[in-house]
Amino acid sequence: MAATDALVFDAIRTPRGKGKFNGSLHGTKPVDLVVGLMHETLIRNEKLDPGRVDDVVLGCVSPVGDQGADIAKTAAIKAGLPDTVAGVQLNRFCASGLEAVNVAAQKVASGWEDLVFAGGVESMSRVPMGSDGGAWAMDPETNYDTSFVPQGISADLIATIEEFSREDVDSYAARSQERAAAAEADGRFAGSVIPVKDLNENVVLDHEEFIRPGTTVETLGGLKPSFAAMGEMGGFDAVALQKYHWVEKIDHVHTPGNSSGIVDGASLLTIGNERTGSELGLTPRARIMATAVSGADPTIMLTGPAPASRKALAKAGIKAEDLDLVEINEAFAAVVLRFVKDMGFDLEKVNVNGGAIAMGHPLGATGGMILGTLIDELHRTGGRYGLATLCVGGGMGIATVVEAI
Amino acid sequence: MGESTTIRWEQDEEGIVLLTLDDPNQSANTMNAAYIESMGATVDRLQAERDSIRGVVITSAKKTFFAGGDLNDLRQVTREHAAEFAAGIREVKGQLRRLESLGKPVVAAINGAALGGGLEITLATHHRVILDDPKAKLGFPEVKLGLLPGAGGVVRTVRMFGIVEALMGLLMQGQELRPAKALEMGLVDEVVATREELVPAAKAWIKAQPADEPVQQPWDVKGYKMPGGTPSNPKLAQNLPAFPSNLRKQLKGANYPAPHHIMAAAVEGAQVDFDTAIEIEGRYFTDLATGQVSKNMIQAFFFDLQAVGGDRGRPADLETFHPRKVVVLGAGMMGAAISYVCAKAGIEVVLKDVSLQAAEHGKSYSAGLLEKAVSRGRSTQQQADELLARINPAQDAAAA
Repeated sequence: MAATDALVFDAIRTPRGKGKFNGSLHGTKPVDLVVGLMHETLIRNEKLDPGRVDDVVLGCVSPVGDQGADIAKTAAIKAGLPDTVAGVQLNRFCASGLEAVNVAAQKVASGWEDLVFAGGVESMSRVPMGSDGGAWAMDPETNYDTSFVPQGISADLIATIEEFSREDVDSYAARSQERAAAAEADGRFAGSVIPVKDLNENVVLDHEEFIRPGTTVETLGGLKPSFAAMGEMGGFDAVALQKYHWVEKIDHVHTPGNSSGIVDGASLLTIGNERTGSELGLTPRARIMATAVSGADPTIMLTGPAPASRKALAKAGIKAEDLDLVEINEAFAAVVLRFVKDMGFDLEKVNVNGGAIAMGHPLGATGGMILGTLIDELHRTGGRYGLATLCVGGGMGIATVVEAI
Repeated sequence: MGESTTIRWEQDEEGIVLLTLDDPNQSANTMNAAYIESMGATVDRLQAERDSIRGVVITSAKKTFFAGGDLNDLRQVTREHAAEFAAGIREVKGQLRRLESLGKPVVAAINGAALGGGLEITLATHHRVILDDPKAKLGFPEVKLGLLPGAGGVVRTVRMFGIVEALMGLLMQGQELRPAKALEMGLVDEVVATREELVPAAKAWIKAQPADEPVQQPWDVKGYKMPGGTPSNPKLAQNLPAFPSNLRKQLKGANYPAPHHIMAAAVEGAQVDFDTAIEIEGRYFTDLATGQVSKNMIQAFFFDLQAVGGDRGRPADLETFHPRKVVVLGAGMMGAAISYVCAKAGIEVVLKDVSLQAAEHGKSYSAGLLEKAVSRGRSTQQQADELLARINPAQDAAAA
């Protein structure tokens, strides 16, 4: 192992609460979701001297209000970490959590920092998606000139082009629900999902709240398409079709049942080099072999995972078939199906414990969550190489390749 | 300092200055170089003599109030003139800004059509009175020529009506409003029946204002709130991303930069102070005016259309043909309508079909239209009877 290898010593997360006013985490501030994970990390790793942490890197996609003003440093202060521990919040849309992990890995791999907390947080019930505005959607000149469409339209466009039927995407969604329910029932998440507690140490939420066991293709089939009205009345279908002019019309197959859930949650990983880890009694669980970002056309938007994954695999020096497990964020069912097709993967290696369709996608936190899930499952099954990837707004894709230790 | 050659100045004993727009070299007032010099000199004088002025009325000596930008000038500016052009419109807008900020009541007495630049001048006043004349229309036709109202028209309508109403009701489609409709919308404040009442009504409003309180535009009053809210208003923000996409849907991807720039200037201008908004509007206007699309549209929809509508290509000695009688074969939907428009134009019509009954049925279409017109006061019974009498249903071709 090289002195500057970026190692993952710990990867924990909160359970995901429904991202609505009646969700269990709605009354918990996002800063407290992070503080809870920081405290838990120090409890679980009793010799971890927080003074050795160089930086806290957190992804957050709507960094305003409760989540504004550098929530990473705010959480570090509130958690009582030493004043020398810095903090930075970043935003790469849905990839923010994994970007935070990758940046932390790059800091360590560069040799310029030794130990970093990385992850993300999003309380979608408290700070709704889109709260931060932004020129892409809100500035007419930018919006028009770049053919902006909301992601749901992009997902439906992928399904249309790939001829994924409503039944195809619903079948995938039902599978996600089934796998997530089975994994949770089997206790596969127990080691990494840390209950959220209130100030009296009473448990607020200790399990994945969004899963709907018993979901079937039939029940999913009754749901109405989420993006048909927006596509028609909002003019977004026309925008997409002007660019994809060989497509006759967009088949709106995505519904709340086969798209990622809106939830609240946070993730936190401990990443450092071997020397620092051994000095602090930390056990490495995985080595980050490579990270990559890439991109695809911003209107179809969600096809970036394949180019990013190929780039990361090439950097890691392994082939797609060497991978034992793959986690791709289930932003929409068609994204997963398209990615699996692009990469020629066996679906049996992909999202084996369900994903965001069943458990939800707390935007800024998800990247850290799925990387943790991946490492846990590699250990459980004795696998060696794993890939985590997400589709990202603006057409971007992100990928991280790990080797279990 | 320039001289006012196109704007006359008359001050009455009560201190009200009557400004009369009257370009001696043209049948209509336009925003040409003489106007800019005249308006500059006039505003300078208003500011200099401010203390002895009770208020200002702006009217016109022409049939129309003011025709707007000079298209001959506009079609000559190219990309190389962008800096010069931007400076020129900054000058025009600066004058209007000084006019509305004079602190004295300024009233537009609109005696006829005020389109484009003409309407923009009136928006820089505090009160608009319009003559109820069928030819008195208000609106911004700029978009139809690939341009935008670049003398503050976007900025002021957005501040008067809010982003959505300004875009949909005035700017994006170039609607023309008659006095009653303009009053209903709030684009004008008062409608008078005769030309004689126009200036007195304007002066009466001035006299009704307290003499010792400076008059301000609503957007200059502290605490001003934009109708419908700015783009940071959640209700508007929710719908805003769909504005450009719906425009793209409407345009089917064709290259019409004007509505795109109008939308952008309106939304961007709503997020900043008035003077910055004016500057943003100017940038988009400069891009349109110096670009090729507006040149093409001005050529096609103004100059070419004018030429085609005129006597171009027609030998001067040829007598004009005036049809006096037309025979329409077939009294179905099309024949019936052709009969109506011909008879309306004063032409005798023989409407022939296979049976007299069918021909009569065709004529009944005109009868129905006329009945409606009479009941709504758009036609007199006598006019209707005369028109109907010109349509002669026939079964036999010999009747022609």
